[in-house]
Amino acid sequence: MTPPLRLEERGAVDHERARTLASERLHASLPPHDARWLDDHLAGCTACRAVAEGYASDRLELEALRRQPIEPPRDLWARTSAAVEREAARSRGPRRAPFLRRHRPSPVPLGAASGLLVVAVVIGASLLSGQPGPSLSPRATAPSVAMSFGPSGEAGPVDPTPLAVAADVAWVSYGANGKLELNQARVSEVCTEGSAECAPIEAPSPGAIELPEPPRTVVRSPDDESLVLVEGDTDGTGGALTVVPGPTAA
Amino acid sequence: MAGSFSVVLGARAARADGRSMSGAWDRDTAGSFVEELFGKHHGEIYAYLVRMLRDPELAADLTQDAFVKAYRNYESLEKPENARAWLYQIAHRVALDELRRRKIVRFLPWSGESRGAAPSAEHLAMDLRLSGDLQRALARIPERQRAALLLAELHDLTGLELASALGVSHVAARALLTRARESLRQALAAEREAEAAAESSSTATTGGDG
Repeated sequence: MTPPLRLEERGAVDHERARTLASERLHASLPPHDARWLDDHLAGCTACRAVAEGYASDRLELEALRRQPIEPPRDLWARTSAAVEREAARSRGPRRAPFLRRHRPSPVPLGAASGLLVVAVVIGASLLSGQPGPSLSPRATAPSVAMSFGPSGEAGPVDPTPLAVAADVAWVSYGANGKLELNQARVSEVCTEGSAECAPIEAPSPGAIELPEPPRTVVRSPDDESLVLVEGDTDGTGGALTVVPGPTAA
Repeated sequence: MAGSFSVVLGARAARADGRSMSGAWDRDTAGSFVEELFGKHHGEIYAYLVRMLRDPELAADLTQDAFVKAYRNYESLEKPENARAWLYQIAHRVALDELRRRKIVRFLPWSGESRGAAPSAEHLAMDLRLSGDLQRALARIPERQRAALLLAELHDLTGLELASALGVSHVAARALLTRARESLRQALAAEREAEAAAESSSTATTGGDG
């Protein structure tokens, strides 16, 4: 059996109940016996009356916020309908892990020591061609994918990136003559790995450059005129930058 | 939007058939339905997200996300007459996800040159609207309580709609609303105390200088 509440505990329970009912009365009408009990309690409890008046006054202030119109941006429907269309297009076909069809140069026997290392950087279509890229999302960033090939020529893990379509790709590879070559191509379609649905990347027209070591990465210069080849270890020591004319500038 | 309304109504009529015959997801119907929902409710959903997040640009992005999710989850809407509460439920979850993400991801101030120009007059006006002591007090209370108050007091969701939008039982929604009122009362009192203290401190400094 529950022990009876002491006087002060009983009072605390009553105050709590009064505040709850005072709040609920603002949102819906109370049953008559609750309403009567509340009025009786408030008549004799200054603190609870102050709380109840506070709730009512805060409510009036909240309601006053209605008079401050919040207008949505004018292009909200355009953005939303485009996003819905993208969602519809995505759900139409079977979901597949996007994979940038990779360009594999013909296997070149360069010796076990040198192997074959290709560093590829996808630069947004707007950067290489000067044309604006496809508008995918208001928050979408420019497509950017890097993939590397190990000594066996196999691709390393590539993060799925549905953005890497209609993008220009630049990469450095060893050519048949053993010299590093700068390649560029346009990727128009992204397929799952091993899929035969995508057409292979068209044969690029590499420009020969000479580098002592394969670069770690390739980035486009801000003025679109050059490619910057970053060499050195990943720990940040002993690096070097080589600037070469960009594919479009060459 | 008004021009496409008759098409929308036609699509709604076709929806039940499409569902019962095949159970398949009718994209065209869903698209038309979302367009109709957008026309009716995008303003209030945007306003709710602005009030929840105090960031008009983010609220616009999340409004867009909410309608995309409505399109994606069209089949989860059991009764069209509950569409408004269902839409608020989606928007509420989108807002809570964003608020949770903010707690996980720490944003650093951008120290470089801003991409945009100075804030627009509209943006400044919105900032002013969101900077009153009531808005600051609302920002201080737990987000689920804030949502309950906003939905009940400013967006007129009734008991069951409120419960549905918050994803809780009717009883839990009422309890949440009661806690929210108490939290707001205390937060508002604290805001006003701080404001009064700052004012008296400023007056004292001015008096000392004079």
